[in-house]
Amino acid sequence: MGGFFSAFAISASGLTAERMRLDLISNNIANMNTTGRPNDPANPPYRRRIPVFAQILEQAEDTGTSRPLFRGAGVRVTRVLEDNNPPRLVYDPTHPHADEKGYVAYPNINIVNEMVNMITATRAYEANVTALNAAKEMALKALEIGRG
Amino acid sequence: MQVLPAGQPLLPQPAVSGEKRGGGGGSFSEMLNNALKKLNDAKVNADDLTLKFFTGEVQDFHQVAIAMQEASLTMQLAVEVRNKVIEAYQEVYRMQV
Amino acid sequence: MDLFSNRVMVALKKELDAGALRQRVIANNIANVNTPAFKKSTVVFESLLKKALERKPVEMVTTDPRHFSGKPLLAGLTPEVNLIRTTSMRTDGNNVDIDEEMANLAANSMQYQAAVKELADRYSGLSYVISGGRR
Repeated sequence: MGGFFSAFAISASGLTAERMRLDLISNNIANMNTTGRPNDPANPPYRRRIPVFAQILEQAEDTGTSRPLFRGAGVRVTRVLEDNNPPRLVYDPTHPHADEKGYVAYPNINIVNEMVNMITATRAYEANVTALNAAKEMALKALEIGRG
Repeated sequence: MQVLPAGQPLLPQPAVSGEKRGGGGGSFSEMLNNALKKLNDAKVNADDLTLKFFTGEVQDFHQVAIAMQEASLTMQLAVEVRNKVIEAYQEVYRMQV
Repeated sequence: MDLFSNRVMVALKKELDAGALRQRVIANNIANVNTPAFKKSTVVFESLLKKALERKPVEMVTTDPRHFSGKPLLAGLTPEVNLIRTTSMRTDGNNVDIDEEMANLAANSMQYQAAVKELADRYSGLSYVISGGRR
């Protein structure tokens, strides 16, 4: 059944990816009110960070056989995108980061969206833990083939 | 209740059993050679799979466990056959002519 | 003198291979539950096994190396991995149903462990027989 990606590695990749998503979500929530000057490179406004997930596929040279039965090898975060949506403008001329019209650019982060994503990511993380445990139980049971 | 010695039911019967002189001997040694070859193959396979598992080529431990168990049973069978053969030889040797 | 090639033992060993493969496929589905455009896969084996066990091997005479021989189908049986391309209700095109995967995970784990136990018992029985009823 070959290949170098065991069931453990696949579940571990899922755990890592969802964990990274959770970290980004936490970062987004923490920076909801981080303003900045839009045209000032030293003080950029915070932009929402979004992970891009992609599945890992085993390459032909990794496996011993020429046509493996199954090439799926988990998931990874290929990039972290910055949301390019326009920032939320709030009129506040007294703010140090207000532009010439008196608007302050707040990051376009919606707390409800982030919470929903957090729940999805947490649920996926837990599912990956369950998958890992199932693989572990099966492997331990296989050790008993030779016993008695 | 008589427990049949384990060697008997599992060995294939020699095709021609008492008809040619030493006929039992010829096919018997072939049989032994085959058995030893199978035993060797089983052990080589078990060793090979074990190494492959620890280098990561084989992902499923059950394949290693199965190969090891089958090699062990084949070895056990070979030892029992050897014991029976020696017993049988000794019995023949002890016969009063 | 092949102790290990009766149908049940071969079927059990193949069931173990299929179970391990299925675990990998399900783990991959679960790991990719949030990957856009990902399509899930399933493993088909038990129905193939049933078909293979039902058919009796046909004795066929071969006079040419190119003729099919009547080798039993069980020996060459391998599980199949199917990619399921159905559309889903999700906007990102991912069709993994996490609850279905969790249920399959549990069922597969149980089936694998049962096969291991069965196989271990058979080896143990063989050992007993070989040593003539002694341990």
